[in-house]
Amino acid sequence: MELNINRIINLIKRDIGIYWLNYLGAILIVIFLSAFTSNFGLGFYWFILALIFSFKEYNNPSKLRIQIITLPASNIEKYLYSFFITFILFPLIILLSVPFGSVLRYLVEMAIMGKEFSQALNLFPYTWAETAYQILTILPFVSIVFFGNIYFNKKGGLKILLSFIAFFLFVVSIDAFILYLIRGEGNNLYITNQIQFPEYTKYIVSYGITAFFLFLSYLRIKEKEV
Amino acid sequence: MIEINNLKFSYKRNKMVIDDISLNIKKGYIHGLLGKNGIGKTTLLKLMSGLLFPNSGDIEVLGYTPMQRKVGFLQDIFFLSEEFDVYKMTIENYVKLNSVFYPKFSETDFYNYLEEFEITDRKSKLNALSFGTKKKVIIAFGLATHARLMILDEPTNGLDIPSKAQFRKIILKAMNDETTIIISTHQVRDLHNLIDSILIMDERNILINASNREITSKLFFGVEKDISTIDNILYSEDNIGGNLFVKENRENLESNLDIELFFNAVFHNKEKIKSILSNNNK
Repeated sequence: MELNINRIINLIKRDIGIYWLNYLGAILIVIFLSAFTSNFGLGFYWFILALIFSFKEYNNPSKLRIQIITLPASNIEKYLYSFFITFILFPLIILLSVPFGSVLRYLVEMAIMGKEFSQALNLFPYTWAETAYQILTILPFVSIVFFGNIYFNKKGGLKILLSFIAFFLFVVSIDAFILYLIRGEGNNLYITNQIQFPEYTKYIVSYGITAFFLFLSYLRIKEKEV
Repeated sequence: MIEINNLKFSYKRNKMVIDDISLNIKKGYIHGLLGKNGIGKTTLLKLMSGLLFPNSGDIEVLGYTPMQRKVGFLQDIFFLSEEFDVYKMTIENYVKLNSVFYPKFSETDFYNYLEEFEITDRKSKLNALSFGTKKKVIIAFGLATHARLMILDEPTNGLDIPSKAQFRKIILKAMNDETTIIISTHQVRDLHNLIDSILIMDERNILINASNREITSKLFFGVEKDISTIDNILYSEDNIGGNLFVKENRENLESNLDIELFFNAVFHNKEKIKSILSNNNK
């Protein structure tokens, strides 16, 4: 296995050199959204960043995709650099952007609503437990998006979203159909509400899905053609 | 340098683009890959570069299997695609971010090549340049990597007339015994006095693979006002100065290879020329 840490660092530098403006835009959006709305959690921001930017170079048109495929670095190095961007850099960007969002909200509240400067500023509105929970909950979805972006050649993000919707509709239909067979007509409760799984199974399924899609992504990067 | 055996490739089932090609490409030459449009030249080049994977058969390039994309292989090959795009960045940044991956890259050579192409502003935004200028920057970068194999797909497309001459000059300057260049084109006049070996692709296969010397030792290229008295003519065409013709070179006469005439002759008289060139290769 050809693994050179300097090449991985150079790949990361190159990625940031190419997409720094996009990342800066993403940071500003996260700061803005976290300042003025509580509708979106940390996981949502991560999911969206992964959807748009993971394996970005491989998701470009073939005219650009050639560059990353022929760039002298091994498949595992290209994979690890993409992993770093999606699973380490993006969560860090989000975690660092949220306090800036809090400061922004505080400043706006002072300017518009007359809030006094002396009032306490809560830089990070989530507890560590909440943060960990949100990140762990979204982890399998991010891994699916990560795989989707290397699997598809064009408009990977859109295709993944549609795949998600199709998969969700399929599961719900199967769920409803099985319940109909078991309980008969007139029951509108789904199977998932009927069965109580132990807490740990949730983690097993979540980490299992994540590991599976990360592995598939590595296989796919090796087979990626122009 | 490049060894290909029984290579097959198709984009769709039952529609072969490359069908059972076997080929040996020697190092230290500038090979011209010629063929009509849509014949599979680009596909063959992409297979050699590891950008596409064959359905069956073997390819060995510089001792590597291209589809494995080993670092050593990627450091020693440079592929210029006919259709390419660039990121929004300056020439300077492009070099800074990409050159670190090529251990033999010479920044001095790169800027010298750029000067020869008359590109002086290093701070120019790559994406704002014309297609031809972008191509010159990428060619200069490719040559400065000192890769042992340069694969150039239609490199002169989009270049103006002076740039084509500059391109020929720069390629010849960059050439040495360890370098091999494969240039695919359907504009054979652009490669005049540049290539020293010719590969001609026909429907899904290689029709001719011979050096210029081999060709001119077997075939004679001439021009005469009246060709009615000349024996063994394989192909001729009207020209302002008379009739250009290709004939079998039984008398061991010396002549200069006219690539375009040769290309037309091959497609006019495929089997005969193929058999002349394959017999007793000198």
